[in-house]
Amino acid sequence: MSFLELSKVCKSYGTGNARTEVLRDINLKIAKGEFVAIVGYSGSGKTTLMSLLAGLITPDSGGVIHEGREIDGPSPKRGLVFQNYSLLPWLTVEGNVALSVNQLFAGDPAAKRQERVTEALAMVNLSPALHKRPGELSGGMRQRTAVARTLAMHPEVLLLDEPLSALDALTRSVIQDQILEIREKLHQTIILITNDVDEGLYMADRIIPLSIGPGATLGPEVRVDIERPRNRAALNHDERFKEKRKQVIEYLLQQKRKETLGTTVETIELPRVRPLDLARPAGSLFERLLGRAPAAAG
Amino acid sequence: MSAATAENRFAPSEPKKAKGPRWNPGAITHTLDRLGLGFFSPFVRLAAADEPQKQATEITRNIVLPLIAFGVFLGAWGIASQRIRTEAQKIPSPAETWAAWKGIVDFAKHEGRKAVEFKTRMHGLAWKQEGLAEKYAEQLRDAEETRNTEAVAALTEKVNAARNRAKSLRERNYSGPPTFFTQIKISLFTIAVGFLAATLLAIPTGILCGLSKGFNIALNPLIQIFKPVSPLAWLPIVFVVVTALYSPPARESLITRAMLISAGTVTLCSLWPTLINTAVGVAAIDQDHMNVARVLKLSWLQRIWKIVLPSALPFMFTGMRLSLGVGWMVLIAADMLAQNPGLGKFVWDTFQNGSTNSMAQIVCAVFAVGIIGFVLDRIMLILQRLVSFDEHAI
Repeated sequence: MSFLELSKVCKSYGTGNARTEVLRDINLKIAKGEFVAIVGYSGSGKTTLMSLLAGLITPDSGGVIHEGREIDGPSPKRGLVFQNYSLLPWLTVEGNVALSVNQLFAGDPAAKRQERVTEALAMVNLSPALHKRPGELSGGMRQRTAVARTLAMHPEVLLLDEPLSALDALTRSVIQDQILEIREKLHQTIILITNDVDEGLYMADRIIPLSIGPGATLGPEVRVDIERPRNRAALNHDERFKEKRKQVIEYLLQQKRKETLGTTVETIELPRVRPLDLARPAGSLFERLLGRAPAAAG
Repeated sequence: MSAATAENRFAPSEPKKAKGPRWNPGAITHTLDRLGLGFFSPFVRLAAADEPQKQATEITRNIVLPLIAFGVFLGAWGIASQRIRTEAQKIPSPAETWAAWKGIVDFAKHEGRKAVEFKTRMHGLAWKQEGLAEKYAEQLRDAEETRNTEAVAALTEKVNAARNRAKSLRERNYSGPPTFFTQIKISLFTIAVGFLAATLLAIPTGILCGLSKGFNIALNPLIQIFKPVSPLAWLPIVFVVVTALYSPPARESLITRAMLISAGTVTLCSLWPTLINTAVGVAAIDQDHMNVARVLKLSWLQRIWKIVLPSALPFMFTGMRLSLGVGWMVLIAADMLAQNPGLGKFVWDTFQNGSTNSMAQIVCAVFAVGIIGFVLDRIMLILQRLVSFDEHAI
């Protein structure tokens, strides 16, 4: 029996004519300790899939089974790292992590809870930023705070919803390695949703493309049986890696072609609108009236 | 600020490297800006020799331009004071107003001295009575030794009477006419009571409105109807309610009926901005934050306390700032009508008095009302900035 299973899951939004089917017949089995990446185009229903796994929304038909029981709502056992961080802006980095810890380990003594907070933040190298608020952090630091908050919950499954898509390439690779290191230590089951095939191949044991919606479903899976730790630089010249990347990308491209063929192209007459320049003109009104305004920039 | 940066952008590149600041004024100017005292940051920067030329220009502009505007205003006021007059009254000139202000201050000082004198005199008299009581007490002890029952009874009564007289003398307060400054104090106390009541009513109601759509739909018509009602229309109703329900425990009680009527009117007029802003702030809570609460399985109360309230706090404080502004405006009118001895009553009484300098005193009151209103607004702005987490409060 698999550890986490999606069985014939369908999900639609809206009612009547406005009803759109987002996910159709999703079947997925994940073993304990496995790292699965799901890749797909943006708007194909990846976040919906993640919300289903987390239990934030319920499927229209089918079910999500975690350790043999159908889930009926969100649980700290399945820790979700949100795509847009959703840190609480009025709390410090430490406060954000402490919120989870204090809630889930309320029975522990205060010192033990503090230890958990410090430990989680040390794992993502955020110890120097303990007392900063999210507004004062860079994107990468915010994302690491979000990861630390989820790790502090000691979840059995880590759900990563495009956690790195808003970051620059350098920060991205740093956090990818951090996540892999943490996995080495804690051996969690991880599901990563991404739009970056290379990221999926570098990190996961198995990579599954998601077809284009409406009615998206999972495509043929690709096993990434490249030994760990993987070397990012060497990977680019590895024949197995190239082959697997080709498989996934071909599937996704083929999906894209199908979509363009399948839909009739409607031309929509766009209104002729010239955007107004909302920028404040240089110089004060007074100066401009006197004709002493500096020449417009550029 | 943007004008300054624009200027900088177009300035020709400097031939040699400009000298850096002597020390970093950033921390102080940042605090000043947060406290709404950004006006002073160029002075701090100038003291630190941080781009002195630019700071000097900014200071000149910050001071010279307002001074010019104030000068024009004084001129217009002066002309108006020459032209606008009735048989009994006229618009006072700025000089007359200044003289009236000095008169108000002198009167307050004079009354203050009289109050002190009165207290000293009363204490002197009380001291004499206490001496008397002491003397009787001695006689009483002698009488007790000789077991003269009649004398004991008489002397006990005398001792007690003297002690009571001393006590009442010490407690006696100077009851002169209220000065301008005691009236300001009463106004501030009244608005504090009214504003506190408005906040205590509006925030819980606002939270309920923000949380529950049904509650919001139910209350919305009432809110929309009562929001635009003038304080003058509320006052008679508050008058009836207060008169029916409250009688002050003592004659010199701090909370008088007039004060409650005034405060009640302030409450009814000023609770709306807080209520609406709280409701909007609570309703606008980020769905992602609620999802965090769901994953953590926070209970209903914990969600309110840990997620909803902190996230709505900046909205609430914006509402409270608006409420306080409305409340202060309403208070002056309410004081006038309810005869609560605050600033409004001062204006009304002075107007009815009709002496030569009463118009000048009223102008003084106008300035006092304006300045106090400004200070209250600044205090709320500081609080608002302290609780806001995006640091971009207006």
